[in-house]
Amino acid sequence: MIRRALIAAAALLAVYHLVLPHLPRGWSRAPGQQRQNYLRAQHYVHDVPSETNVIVGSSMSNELNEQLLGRSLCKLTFPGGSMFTGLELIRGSDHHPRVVLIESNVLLREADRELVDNTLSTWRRSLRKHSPVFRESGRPSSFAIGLLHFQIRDAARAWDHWRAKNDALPAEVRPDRTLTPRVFEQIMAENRHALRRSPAPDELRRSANRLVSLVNELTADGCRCLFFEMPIDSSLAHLPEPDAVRRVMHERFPESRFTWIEFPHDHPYRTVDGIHLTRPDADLVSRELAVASGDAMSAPRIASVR
Amino acid sequence: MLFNSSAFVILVLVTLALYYLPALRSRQVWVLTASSFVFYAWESPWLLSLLIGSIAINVVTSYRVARGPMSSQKAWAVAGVALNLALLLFFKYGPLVATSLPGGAETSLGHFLVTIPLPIGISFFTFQGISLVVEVFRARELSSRAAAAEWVPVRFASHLENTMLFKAFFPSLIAGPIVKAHEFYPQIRPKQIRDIPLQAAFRALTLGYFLKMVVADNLKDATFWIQYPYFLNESSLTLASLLFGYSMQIFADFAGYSLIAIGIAHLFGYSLPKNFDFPYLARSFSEFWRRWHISLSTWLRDYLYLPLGGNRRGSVRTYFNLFVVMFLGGLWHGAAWSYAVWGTAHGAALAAERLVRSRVRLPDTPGVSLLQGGAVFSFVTLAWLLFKLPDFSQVIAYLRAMLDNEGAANPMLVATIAFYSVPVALYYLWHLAKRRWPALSFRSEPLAYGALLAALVVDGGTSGAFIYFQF
Repeated sequence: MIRRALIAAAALLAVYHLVLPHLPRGWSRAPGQQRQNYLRAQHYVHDVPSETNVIVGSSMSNELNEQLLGRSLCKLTFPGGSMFTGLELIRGSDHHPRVVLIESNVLLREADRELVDNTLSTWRRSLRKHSPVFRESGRPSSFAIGLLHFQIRDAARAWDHWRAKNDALPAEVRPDRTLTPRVFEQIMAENRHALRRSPAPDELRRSANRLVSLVNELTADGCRCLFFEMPIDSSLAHLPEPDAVRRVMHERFPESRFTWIEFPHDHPYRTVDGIHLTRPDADLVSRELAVASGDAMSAPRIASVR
Repeated sequence: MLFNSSAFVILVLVTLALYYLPALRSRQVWVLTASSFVFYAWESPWLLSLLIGSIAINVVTSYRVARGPMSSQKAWAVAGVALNLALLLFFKYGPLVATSLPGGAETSLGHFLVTIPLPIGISFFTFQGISLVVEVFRARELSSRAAAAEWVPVRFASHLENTMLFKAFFPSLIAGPIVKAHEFYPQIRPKQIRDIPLQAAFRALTLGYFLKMVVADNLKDATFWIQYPYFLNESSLTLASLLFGYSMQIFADFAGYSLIAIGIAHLFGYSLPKNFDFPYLARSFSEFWRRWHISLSTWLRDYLYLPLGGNRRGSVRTYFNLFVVMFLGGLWHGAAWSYAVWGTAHGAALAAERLVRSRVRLPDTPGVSLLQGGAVFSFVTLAWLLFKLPDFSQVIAYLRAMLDNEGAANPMLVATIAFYSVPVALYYLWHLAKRRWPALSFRSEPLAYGALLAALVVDGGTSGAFIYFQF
C-alpha cells in the first residue's frame, strides 16, 4: 500500500506539472496575508530582473500602487513585517538593485526568518526554478479558492444589489469594505494605545545597528538607499513610538548624507485605520516615490555609514 | 521542536537508525530517552532540568509506594501527587494567581509570579506522573502485586530507566495523548524492526501531517482575523464562517498532532491511545467528551470524577462533580479565567443534558439525531471562541457583531474556510460510510493517500505551532 501511495503521489504531481501551465493565471488567488507575502517574495527571487529597483517596508508601503510605481520598481513590502524582510531577501538572493527605497516607519520588527529561509533555501529554489508546481502561485488551492472566491463575491454583490434596490440595505453597510466610524474609532484607540509606549533604547539601538549593517552591504555593492516615512493619521504621527523611531532613523541616516524622500506636507493624508493610507493618498505617495526613484538612478553613489 | 520542522525529521531518522542498531538493542530505552531530552531541550535547554526534576519526583515516590514499607505507602502516594500538582500550580498558574491577587502584578510577589515562564508540555507530563503514582498505589491497595511488580521492578535503576522513558517519550511529551502508566509500562521491552506496524504508521503520519500542515495551517491564516478590533468590521456571515473555520482548524490541528504522535510511536514499536474519534459527530455532550481529547477525558474520569463519587452519590452530587471536573478541566487548558468559563460552560451543558434526559425521552429518528448533532456542534463551536479570544469583553463583542453586523460576506475568507473544511468533511463522511456499510472496501486507498502526500508537498500552509502546545 505504501509503495502504491508513493507512486500515486508522484504521478499526481507529474500530471499537475503538465496541467498547470494551461490553467488561467487569472483564477489564482493566494488566500491569506502570509501566503501573499510568500508569493511576493518568490516572485522577486524568481521572476524579477536582478537590477530592478526595490521598495522595502511593512504593510504601510504595501498599500502603494504598483501600476503607478512602474515596472522598474518592485515592491518587497510585507504586511506584518518590516523593511528587514525585504532587505534580507535582497541580500540572500543574487539580485543587485541599483536603488532601494526604505520605508522607515517600522524599525522594531525583525525579518520574517521563516519566509526568508523558505524563499532562499537552495533546494527549494531549485525545485521552484524547475517546476512552478512548487511555487506559491502554482498551488492547486490558489486556483480552487480563486474560483470559489469569484462565485461568492458575485453572489454577495447580487444580494447587496437586490437589497439596495429594495431599500433593504442599511445605510451603515459599506460595499467598499471601509471601516464604519465606530470600528474606525476602536482601531484608532488600539493604535494610540500601542504607539504610546516608548520603545526600549537597547532594542532601538540593536535594530538601527542591523539596518546600518544591511545598508552598508547594499551601498558597498553599488546600490543607492533612499529613505521615506509613510504618512499616517496626524493624531498618531507624534506619539512616543513613532517619534523615537523617527529620531533614531534620522540620527543614523542623516539627511546630510542620505536622501530622505519628502511628501507634500500641506496635504491632509487620510487613512483607512489610522495607519494605512486610503487609495487616493497611497496613489499620491506612489507617484512621488516613482519620481524619486527615477531621479536617484542618475545620482552619484554615496559613501557607507557607520 | 515542532513535529513539522526539518530538525524533528532529522532527530527521528537519527534516533531510528540508532534505536534499531543491533549493537544498541539492549540500550533502546536510553536511546529513546536521550532523543526525548534533545527534543524537549531544543528551544530552551533550561526546561530539561524541570523535566528531570519531575521525573525524579515520580521515580522516587512511585518506587516507595510500590517497594517501601506498607505503613508509608499512602504518605508517599500523597506526596507524589502533591509534588506533581505543586509543580504544575507553580509554573502554570503562578501568573493567574498574581493577576487575581489584590494589587495584581504590581506587588513584588505578583511581579515574580507573572515572570515565571510556562514550560511547554508541563500539563501533559505532570498528568502522566500522577497517573503513575496513583496506579501503583491502587495496585498495591488492591493487592495486585503482579501489576505493581511489572511496572516497578525491584532494581531502582530499572525503574528509573523505565520512568524516564514513560515521562519523556517524545512523541507524546508535549501535547499528548496523555498515556496512563498501565498503557505504557507493559510495552517497554526490546523492539525489532519487524515489530513496526508500517502501514498503520504510514496512515497515521500521512493523515496527521495532512490535517496539520494542509488543513490547520492554511485555516490559521483565515482565522487570524478573529482578532480584536478587526473582526468588528466583518459581516455576520463572515464572522460565523470564521468561527466555523476555527472549529475545523482546532480539530485538524489537535487530531493531526495526535495522529502524528501515534505514527511516530509506532515507528519505535509503541502504541499510544487513540485521542480523537470523530468528535463533531457527537449527538450529546457526554458523547462529545468520549470522542474529543479522549486521553484527557478518561484521565479526568479515572482520577477526578470517579474518586469524587461519580454518579453514585445522588443527582445533586453528580451535577456538582460534573461542574468541578469540567471547571478544572477547563483550567487545565490554560491559566486564564476564560478557560475556566469554557470548562464550566461544558459542565453546565453536561448537567443540563443529564437533567433533560432524566425527564424527556427523545425519539431515535435521523431527524432528531441531526438536530441533536447540530446543537452540540454549534455549542462546541461557539465555546471555542473562549480559546481564541482571551478577553471576555472581546468574546461578547464578537457575539454581538455576529448578531448585528449586516452586509455581504468577505468572499476570500469564506472561500478559504470553505475550501479547507472540505477535507475534514470528507474524512468524517468516509468514517460514516464505513460505519453504515462495514463491508465497504476502499480499493482506491493508495490513491487517496497518494493525493494526501501530493497535497502535503505542494499545499502546506506556513508552519505554525500546534494550538495545544500552549496548554
